[in-house]
Amino acid sequence: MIKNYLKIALRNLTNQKFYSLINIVGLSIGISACILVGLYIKNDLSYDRYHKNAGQIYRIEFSYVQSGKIGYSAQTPALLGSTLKNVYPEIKKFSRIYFSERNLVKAGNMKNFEDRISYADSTFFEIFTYDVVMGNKVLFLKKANSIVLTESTAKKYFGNENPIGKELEINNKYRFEVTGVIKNVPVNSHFKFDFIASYSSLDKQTLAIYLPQWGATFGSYTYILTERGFDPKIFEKKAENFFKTYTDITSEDWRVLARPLLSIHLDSHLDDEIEENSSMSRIVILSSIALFILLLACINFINLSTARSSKRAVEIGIRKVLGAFKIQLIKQFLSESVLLSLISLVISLITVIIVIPYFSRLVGTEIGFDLGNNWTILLLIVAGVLSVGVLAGLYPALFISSYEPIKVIKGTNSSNSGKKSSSYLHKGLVILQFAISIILIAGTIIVNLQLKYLREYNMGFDKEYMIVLPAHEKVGDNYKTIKNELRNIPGVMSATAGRGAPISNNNIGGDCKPNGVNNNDGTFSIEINSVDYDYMDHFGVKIVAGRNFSEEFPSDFPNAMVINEKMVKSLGFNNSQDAIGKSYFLSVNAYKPEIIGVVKDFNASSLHNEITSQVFMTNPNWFREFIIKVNSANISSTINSLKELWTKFFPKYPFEFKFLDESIDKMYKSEERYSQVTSTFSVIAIFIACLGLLGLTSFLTERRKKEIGVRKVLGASIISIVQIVSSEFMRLVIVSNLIAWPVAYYFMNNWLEDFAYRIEITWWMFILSGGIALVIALVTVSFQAIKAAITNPVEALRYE
Amino acid sequence: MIKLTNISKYYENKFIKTYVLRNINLEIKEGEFVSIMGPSGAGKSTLLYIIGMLDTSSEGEYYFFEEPVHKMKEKKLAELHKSHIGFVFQQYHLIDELTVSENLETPLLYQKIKTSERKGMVADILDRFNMVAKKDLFPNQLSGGQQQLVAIARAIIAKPKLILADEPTGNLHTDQGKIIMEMLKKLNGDGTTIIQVTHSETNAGYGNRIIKLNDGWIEQ
Repeated sequence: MIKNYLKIALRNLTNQKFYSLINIVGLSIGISACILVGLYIKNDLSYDRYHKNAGQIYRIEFSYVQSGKIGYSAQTPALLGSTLKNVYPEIKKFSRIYFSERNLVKAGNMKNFEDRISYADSTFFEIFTYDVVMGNKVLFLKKANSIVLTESTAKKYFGNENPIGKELEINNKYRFEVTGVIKNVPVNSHFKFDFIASYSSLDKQTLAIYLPQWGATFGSYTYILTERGFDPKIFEKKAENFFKTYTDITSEDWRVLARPLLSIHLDSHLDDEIEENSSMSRIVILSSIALFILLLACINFINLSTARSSKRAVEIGIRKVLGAFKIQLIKQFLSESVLLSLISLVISLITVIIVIPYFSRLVGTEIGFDLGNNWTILLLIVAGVLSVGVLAGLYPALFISSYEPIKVIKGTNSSNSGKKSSSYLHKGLVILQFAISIILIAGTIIVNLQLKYLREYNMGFDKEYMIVLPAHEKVGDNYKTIKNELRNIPGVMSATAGRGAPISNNNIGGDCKPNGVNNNDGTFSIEINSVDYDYMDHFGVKIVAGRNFSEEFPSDFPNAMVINEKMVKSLGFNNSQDAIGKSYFLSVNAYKPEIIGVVKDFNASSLHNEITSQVFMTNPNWFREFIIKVNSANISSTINSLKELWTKFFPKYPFEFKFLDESIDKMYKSEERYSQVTSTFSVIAIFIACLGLLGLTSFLTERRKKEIGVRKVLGASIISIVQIVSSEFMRLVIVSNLIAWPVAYYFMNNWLEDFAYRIEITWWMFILSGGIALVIALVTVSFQAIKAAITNPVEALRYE
Repeated sequence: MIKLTNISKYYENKFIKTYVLRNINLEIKEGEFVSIMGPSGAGKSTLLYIIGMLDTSSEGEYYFFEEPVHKMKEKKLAELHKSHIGFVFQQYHLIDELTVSENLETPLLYQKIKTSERKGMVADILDRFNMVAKKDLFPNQLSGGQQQLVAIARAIIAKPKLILADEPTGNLHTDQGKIIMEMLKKLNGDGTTIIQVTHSETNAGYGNRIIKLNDGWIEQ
């Protein structure tokens, strides 16, 4: 019986190539989208699970209160781990990890900047699970200045030689002995590293001053391994007074928090995460988009098979007369949809294998697809596809199998025996398809507009043709020499120096304490930048009150500061002029500089954030970057000259530079990705919806061939016939808009809330997305309509 | 074999009853060859389909081999009709996607007959109808008469007691029609009861009893 079903299913597929193609293409795309997103989610959910003790590992975080607001920190003081372990026996082991970026690593002739260097306690390898390639795991990270490399790093620096016992130099200062090699850190880890050195090595580095400080967080994280049955809630309650009791933190508001390792990647969004984590909302958005696409394809199948069911009506009638039960007919039609979905599955699997590298790039995570080792996944996919086949086929099967044989057998004209109710269903489903497409189009438009807004937003400083060069070593007063030489390069229009260019994130974080250094009343956070005398001019930032720093006042450091307008408000002044001449304590070195000038506000970080209170001082010892404005002509030769100069001043370091505007664009990488994902998927969605529309109109115009022929004979013009055929669908698309707009508004408004600086959603964005959908639908429909309209009516009317 | 008592059929439409059949009383014995005749719209086909259990009467009683059809549930009806009744239609109604032998096999599939037995029965009937050479052709590769022969073969393959034919020669040339009628006559001679609807006196002549319908009434 099954064989018979399959045989007729296959014959139907090949007899109706056009419809089969529409269905197969749509379903293949839908299934591929679901598989890809499924793999992405699987990857997201698998984060950090490969550690044997994953369930018992927690990251220690803490919360504090500042200016009446609770703040959270994932980075913790270096002393925290050992003190906690001494107090609470349920903590079996702890390990700190410090992550360090932009380090110059040298071994033999190899010299590179490396971003993924970390330092950890020797317990690290007892808490976390990594496969050892070489060396004795028990001894890893025990000795000061010992380092463990990942397999690919070892290969990069030592080739095929045995790296154990070899030496490696970091930042031209610190020497490390390689004691082991481990397998590369799996991509599904919330922290990744290429080098891991013993934490005790930090004792000799400059940041050692932070190690004994309870008040300092400096990029170091604490992980604990707990006894079985450890409950973070009970632990946090127990440790409520930990900071007050065991540390020199006097504030009552500091609390120890324990976050399960396995929830970090999906749930944790603190300001100082090791890397950008995923989120449930991202998973939900991606999976709903994929499911929507699959739904669109299923709708095509349902619509086309019910619309065309009248063609099969006679067959059904005969089969019933020949003794078929309804259930047998249902099975027959289900086998057709299942066969169709299985064909699509095969195509999807091939598609997935082809597009997975592009998809990985699109979502920004490496996603693997290894079916050989993943029978469960394959099984899951097959089961999923079978149920898609059954779900898509069920309604048409029930619908078609319910034809009463007597009605279809008696009448010679079987094409009108389709049930009335089916046309409402078609309309409803077409409306749903286009509503989904319009939501996606609107989403794409709004995301892209916001991105454009971010890119073009006037941040309050000049950013074009600015090249940022890092000062690798403390430059001090030497900076003037460097600056002069920079100015001498043809093509350099001006040069300045500072702790950082406006968005470089190099600012020193601290507090302003208006009521004295030991009084926390009225304290607010500030960011301190150290700038050259011509920094403000260089960036086109205006002084609105007072004066700028000047060489005429050698005592400007540390006695003077320039602040921004926002800080004027934080200090409680309405007028910038009123702040001039006042002095305030800063938490940094307990300086108490006088306000000599106020600059106009500019955005010193991503536009997700409001402008913060900024303090500028002028101390060459804090300078870390030179910023050069170059002439747009001959940029490459200018860069070559810069390279020569930089190799002269910093011979131990490879030359590197950044364009400021490119760095600004980079801050919106995740939004960029979001926009690419939504754009791609909405194109796919509207494509599938149009495929369905194409099939439906081609069927319906075929059915109205006679009507169209009669109308033409009676003198109807081609345009009026196109109108007749398309107007019905156009009405449906218009209705879809009404459904789509509020939904799109709700979701996109939600998304925009994330930005301090955002566009407002206005009516024309919806009109535009609706218009796009309408035009695409119109083109699709007209294609068929015109074809029908220009057919010679004699052909349609000739007696069959 | 068939006993109809006071069978009526009407359609209700906004309080108006439109009668198709009125008060039909009819008995047909096994082995008869009955022709139902009458003008268009007289209710001939409706009567045929009620007898064939594809349609139900609005009033009256219908006994098939003494069993009360008018009281039966749908499932029982389907069982009864698929094991005892074969149909032949004016438009042949073969399944376009199936070959001749597959078309012949279809009713057997629905009667859950084993594969080997099925093959045997199909081979037999192809032989009997001289269609072995055409067994792998699709319906649109055959002439109308050939299609109707296949349809008859399909109707009798499961050896039904009763064959219902709705204007079996309506779409055929005289010559082809003659072949079909000879075939029905032969089947009747082998013991199968046949009821046909026809407009043609010639065709009615093949049978041994004529029932004339007019406006839903049997003309006496």
